[in-house]
Amino acid sequence: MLKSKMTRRTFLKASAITGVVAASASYVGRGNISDASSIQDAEKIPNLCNGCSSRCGMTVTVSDGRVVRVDGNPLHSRSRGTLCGRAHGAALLAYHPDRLTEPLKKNENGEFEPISWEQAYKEIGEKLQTIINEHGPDSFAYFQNPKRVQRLYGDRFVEALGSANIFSHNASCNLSRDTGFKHVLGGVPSGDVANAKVTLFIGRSYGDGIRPSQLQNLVTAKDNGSKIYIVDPRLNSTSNLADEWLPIKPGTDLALLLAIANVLIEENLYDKEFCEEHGNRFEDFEREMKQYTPEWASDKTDLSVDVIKQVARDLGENRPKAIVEQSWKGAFGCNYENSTETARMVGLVNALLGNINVDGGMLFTSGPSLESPDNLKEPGELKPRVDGAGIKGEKWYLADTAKGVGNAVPDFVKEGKLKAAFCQHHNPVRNHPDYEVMKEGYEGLDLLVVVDIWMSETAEVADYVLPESSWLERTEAVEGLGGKTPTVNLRVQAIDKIHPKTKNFSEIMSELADEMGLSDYFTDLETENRTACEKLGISYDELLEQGTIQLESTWEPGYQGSNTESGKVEFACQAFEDAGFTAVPKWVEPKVTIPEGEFRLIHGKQNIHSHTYSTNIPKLAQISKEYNLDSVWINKKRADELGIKDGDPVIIENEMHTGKTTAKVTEAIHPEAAFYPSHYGSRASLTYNDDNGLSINDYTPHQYEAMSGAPNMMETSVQIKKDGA
Amino acid sequence: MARYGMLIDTIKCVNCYACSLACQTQNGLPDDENFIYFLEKEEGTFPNVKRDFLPVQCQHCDEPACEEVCPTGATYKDEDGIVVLDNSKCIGCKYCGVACPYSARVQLHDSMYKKGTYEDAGREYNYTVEKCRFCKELVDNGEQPACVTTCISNARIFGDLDDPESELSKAIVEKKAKPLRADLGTKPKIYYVR
Amino acid sequence: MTQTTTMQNKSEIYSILAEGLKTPTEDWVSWYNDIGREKLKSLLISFPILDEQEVSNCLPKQLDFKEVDHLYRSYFILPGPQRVVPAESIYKQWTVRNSAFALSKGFLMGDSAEHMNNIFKELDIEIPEEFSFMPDHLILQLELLSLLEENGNEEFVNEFIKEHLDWTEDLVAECTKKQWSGFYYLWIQLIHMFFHKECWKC
Repeated sequence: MLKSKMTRRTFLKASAITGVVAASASYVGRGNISDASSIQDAEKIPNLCNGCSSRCGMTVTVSDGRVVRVDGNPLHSRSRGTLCGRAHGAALLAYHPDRLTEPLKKNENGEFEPISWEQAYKEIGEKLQTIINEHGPDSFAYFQNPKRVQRLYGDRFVEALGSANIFSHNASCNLSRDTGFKHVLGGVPSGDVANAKVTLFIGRSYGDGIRPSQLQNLVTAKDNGSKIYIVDPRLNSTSNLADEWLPIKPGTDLALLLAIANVLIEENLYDKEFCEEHGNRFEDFEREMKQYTPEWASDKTDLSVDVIKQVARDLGENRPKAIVEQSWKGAFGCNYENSTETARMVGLVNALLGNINVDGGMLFTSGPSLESPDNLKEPGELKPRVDGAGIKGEKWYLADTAKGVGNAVPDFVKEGKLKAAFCQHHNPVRNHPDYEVMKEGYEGLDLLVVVDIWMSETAEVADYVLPESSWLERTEAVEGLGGKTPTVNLRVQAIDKIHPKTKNFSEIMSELADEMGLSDYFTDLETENRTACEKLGISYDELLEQGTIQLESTWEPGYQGSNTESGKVEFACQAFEDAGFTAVPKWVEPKVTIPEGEFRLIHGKQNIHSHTYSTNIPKLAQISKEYNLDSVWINKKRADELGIKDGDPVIIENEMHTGKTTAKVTEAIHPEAAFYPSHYGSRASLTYNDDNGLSINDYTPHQYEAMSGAPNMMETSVQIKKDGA
Repeated sequence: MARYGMLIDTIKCVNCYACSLACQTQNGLPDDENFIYFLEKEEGTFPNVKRDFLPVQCQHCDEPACEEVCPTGATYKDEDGIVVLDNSKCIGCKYCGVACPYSARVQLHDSMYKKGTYEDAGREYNYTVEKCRFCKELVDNGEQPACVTTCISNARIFGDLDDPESELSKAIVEKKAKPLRADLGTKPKIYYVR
Repeated sequence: MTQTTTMQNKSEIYSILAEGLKTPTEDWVSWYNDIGREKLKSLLISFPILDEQEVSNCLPKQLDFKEVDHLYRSYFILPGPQRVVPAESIYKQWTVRNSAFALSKGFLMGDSAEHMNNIFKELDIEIPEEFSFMPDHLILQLELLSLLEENGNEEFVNEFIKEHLDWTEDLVAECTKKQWSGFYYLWIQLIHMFFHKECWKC
């Protein structure tokens, strides 16, 4: 029988009076919305910016439930009242059309379908339990962006299940750096740039990878007449604050540092007393450094002998207020075969300068200790880490366990060691080199759960995607910042959830824990926060109001010993010998030699972007477009040889990938280097970053640095040619 | 009464676009319209190179070329020396845009207007040829312009040029700051350290 | 045709257009195939301003449920390269309020949404929870028009369309950019044609 009437599924629920009103109502236009006075009712709520991961203090103005402006919080130690462009761009994230609105499950056709939270918890809980029963807790791993809320609810969840497999996103950032520093100095210090008389930056650019307080300290140093050196194959955006640019050949920073150590020792410009008293096997180091003359280093680095000597003397003569800044990802975060060795030498040159923990030197400060309620159950014994980080005899014994060799997931999966993973606010499939390998690796997991605010390349290969409330819609855990004056900081929910079915990470993890019978390990966020404040003796309510509270300084100047094996500064390090390397750092060639006519593809941050997510923010994407920021920098002379002019369309290719972009032809880069910013080339289906350029990770193979397991992100060679030529 | 001006220390500028984005939000502009734009100049040959960053906006000239050509008197200098616009008098002829040596005038919402999305906005300044107003609404309230507050390297100083004791006046002398293209004779009031 | 019938016709049109944007069911698809297509066509071409051929072109003859269901999921539901969110706020400036983000574009819950909420409140209408973050969704706007026509409030309808349905051209452009094809692409074009040619004024 034919159906003559359509079955209506009317969404609008009319009431008894609707009809009457609808018949007679006169239309009141939207003009009544433009009542400027409503801003007067605005509320100002403290928050921590999520434009990048630095979490600068800001104030969010909310009117009628909507965000109407953001300002820097003058009380906060990182923003000091200022905000970079990313803050203004990220403010409307909650209202972004790409937001995930309900839990998704991948069906047997490989398509996502919406499911309820109850179903998600039930299925994930059961699957995870089955995997753990069958393969042990160490077949489960968690990948995070290391903030306190992730540790309280994510790390704890993993540990409650008996796994130690916690990985931060730092494998593609600073795994080598932290591994090197850990073994020589027992941790990563912060350069007291504002008070140093000489600062040497290696690959780090405060003006490109912004944290306002760091840049302001550099400006203070400049105003005070400090000498600033920038070592970078590219004249970066901080260059105007530098006295001198050292355009080093990419991948050779280690040679420069070895030669600096050589000059400091040969010319007796180092702190002999400090090294002998607090150094482990200093004499071995002294002996080894003899071979690394400035002449030798000049040949490696393309820097002149005079410049190398001058830098070393400037540092030595101004010690201890002379530093080699600790950097971040920069040149040796995770980029070259010699990056861990470079990090060790940065630590040791600083030790030679006797600047450890003195004013104007390299400071070890600690943040406030934040505690959980006493009645929470503590995790029992954990299975050894799947990457073997910190385990003697394992391949990556040396790797820093606070980071982990997260880039090795495809191999762990292949070897059958890893079966399940959770991933939160981190996009390893795109952010580690070699998309295809990463994709296949993560796809190979029996269970991958991604928690995020929108889709990412990693979410696309997940079995379950759980929607998180965005940053202005959630209160997070109280967190601490170190420094001469430590602070306690808080992100406070500023607006109601736009999408009612999204949840805070803390809720998601504790509800899943309930499902799995792990409730005893967790409590709610409010209790965590009140407890942390109570135990510190500060008022949570005050924190809610101000967003930040300064604590009494606990920092004591002067060397306090090192958290290393010997308790001293390890000029020679037994652990390295145990792992099959040399105790004293030595020269290591970059893995890839760049053939004549090709370029080393190097990358770095741009100051309006963060990782690979911010190009999906219209305001920021617009700047990239207006200023052609997604261009590849190539040296003018090389470009001339290739017939490439500024602004020309070019093709970058190697055996892995071929892609098009435009050329920025410049004198401001070493001829061997081609620089491309690291934010572009998204493959995730997001609204505002389609067709947005290339990804450096498409050109770099899946590979490991021998010492730390870091992904050697700049060990690759490419050809560049004019498009259409 | 004051004679407001600004200093921009380009040595401290890292070309981070924060000022232009803060300006955009302060003035509620669409994403593709800005009162501040950036010029970059490279000098020298490798390895002796310098990159100059130059954020440009209305220079608040004492003798504004834009005021001179405005047929309706919409553009004028207020009692504090800020070059402002009476939107109700602006007819959108863009003479000011042509006359301004700094390309600092922006016809508002051109892009959105064309697409018809701006029509309902209910704002009085559709299609008028706007500019930086030194955030007059903030300054009148005793605050600083948005580009100054947000600047992450404290490269901008705002103040009264007539007050020799102001931080601005002192910094101009100390840092030998100079206006851009003073030779054009419009007497601009933004001083650059370069 | 009396004015009342026209209003009923319009109400019916809005209702069908809204229904076509909802999760497809087998019932609805067979209704469309058997009855709906012809019915909508005759309703539409009763407006002299609409060309029969043009209308016909936008109404495919036979729909296949599986195909429509698949398209629906990739165009409206699943995060992916073809998903489009047909909510007015995304295509309009965000707010006319004194807000730092007044003229930002591309975000949900702008003034359009707020105004829709005001209208629903005034008419004592409840909207489903899953639309709480987009009360200015095209489906709800079409349903509202249907309801208003049903109750004979042409004046309200006219004012409402003028303020709230001037974005369908941008929506079509977005669908084109996302390489839509087939039923929903045509349906969106049909909706646009209806408003663009000002059928509602007839």
